[in-house]
Amino acid sequence: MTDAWNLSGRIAIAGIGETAVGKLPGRTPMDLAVEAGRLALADAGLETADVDGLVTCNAMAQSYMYPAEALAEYLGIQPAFCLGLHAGGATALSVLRHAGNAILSGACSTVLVTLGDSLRTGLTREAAKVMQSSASHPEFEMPYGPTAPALYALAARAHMAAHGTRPEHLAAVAVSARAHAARHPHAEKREPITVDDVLASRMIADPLHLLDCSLVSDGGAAVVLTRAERARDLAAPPVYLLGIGEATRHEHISQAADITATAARDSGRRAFAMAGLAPADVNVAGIYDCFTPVVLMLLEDLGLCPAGGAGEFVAGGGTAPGGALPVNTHGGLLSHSHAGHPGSMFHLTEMVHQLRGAAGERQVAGARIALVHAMGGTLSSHATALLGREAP
Amino acid sequence: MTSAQTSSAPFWEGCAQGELRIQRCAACGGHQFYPRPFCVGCGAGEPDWVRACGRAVVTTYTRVHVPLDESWAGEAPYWVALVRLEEGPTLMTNLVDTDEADVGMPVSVRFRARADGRTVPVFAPAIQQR
Repeated sequence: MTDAWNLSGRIAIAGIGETAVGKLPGRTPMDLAVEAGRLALADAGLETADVDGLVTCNAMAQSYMYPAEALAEYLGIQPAFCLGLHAGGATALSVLRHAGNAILSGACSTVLVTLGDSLRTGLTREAAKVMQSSASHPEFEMPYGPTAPALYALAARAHMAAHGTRPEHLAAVAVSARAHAARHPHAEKREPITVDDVLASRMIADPLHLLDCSLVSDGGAAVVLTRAERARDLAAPPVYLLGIGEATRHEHISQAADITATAARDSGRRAFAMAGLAPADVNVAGIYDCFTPVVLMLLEDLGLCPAGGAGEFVAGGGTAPGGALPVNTHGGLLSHSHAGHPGSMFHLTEMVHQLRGAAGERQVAGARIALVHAMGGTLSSHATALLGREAP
Repeated sequence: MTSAQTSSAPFWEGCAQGELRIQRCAACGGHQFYPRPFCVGCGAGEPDWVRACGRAVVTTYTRVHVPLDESWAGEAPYWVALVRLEEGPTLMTNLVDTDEADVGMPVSVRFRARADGRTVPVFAPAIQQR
């Protein structure tokens, strides 16, 4: 990487937008993306006409072959940089590099990234089945009936065998997420739960219980990206992109060389290298949490916990409110919402709230550096971002 | 089922005949699964098809209680596992004829006909050989 393409400190998040989440019947993914996008622009003090770069993802509940062009048309803009990005759950973070590069190259100056989907009310039963099946290899995995939870149960079982992780450790991830969500006014699930509640919930794919699994939601979220120096003149306090890394090691879980070692090791290393930071510098984190074992694996692979140590760290309250490293202070995919590709966008916007010091009851005192990690597929596409309250 | 790869026909023909077939590269000696028209290890073309010995170990597993769809409803709870063949490659499969599983458990291949007419490889606990 040459200095010319080092994004660190040169790109800022100038605005964020979040729709309501949960059951939003009658609202299309496009409706949600547009609402989130307009909220983000208003937050930054910008107009739709200022947008000359636009990124969105394909929605599962609404099929546009060219989703970004369709969104541009709907908004009535003709952006010079118009990108439909499909990295599944990692889309929200993967885009930070591509949009950042586009801005530094001069292709555009103001990029709106907005994602919306309606998995809860917008999918037919058949479409939901297709969506769940899409993560598995059609010829060499689907004949064995793997569900989405089953794929992550395979990862959980391998982590248990390698590190002595117990179901109680997995459950503690859900308990921590719920404790945070209880402090978020718009989270879907806010009533506190215990480890026993998780272990007593319905078995889905052993060792994963119902409460080890994320929600299924409608919702949308957005960010506005621009050059750091320009962001300082806009309406909202800028949050700086300090590092970004992407990585992949496989697509299908049966092709993973080592199911207990995710590509987060690579994406995290790249992000920390760009930022010139170390895991110990991180004050608060947003970690992709489609199923509880993923949080343990990612905490370890990102270097935030030693290998095999995440279970005890979470069970001891390390990620909970007031813990040494609060994780998913909005409640995450487990308790705030999981609208599919937009899911991790809420991890990103929550970290912006934290770094602005605007997270209300959830505020982590003195938060200066945040890590966000998102993941798509079955531990397949990974992206890690480091964000800062101050420019380096 | 869509998107059967053109390079995988020998695999499915083998299953129908009760043979687990994988590919072996004549240039580097590496085995691979799933099939490709080249060696993913060294890049050489046209790997050979060979019969795998059928012995494997479970690398991870789950028992699925909420099935994928109606066609699996009568099977639940059913085992989904990853097994590593003695030759090296890992594949997804179902464990059959067992009430328990463990990481590292030795298994051996069986074949089961499915409702769609396809015969697939599944694995059962290996009988200890003396």
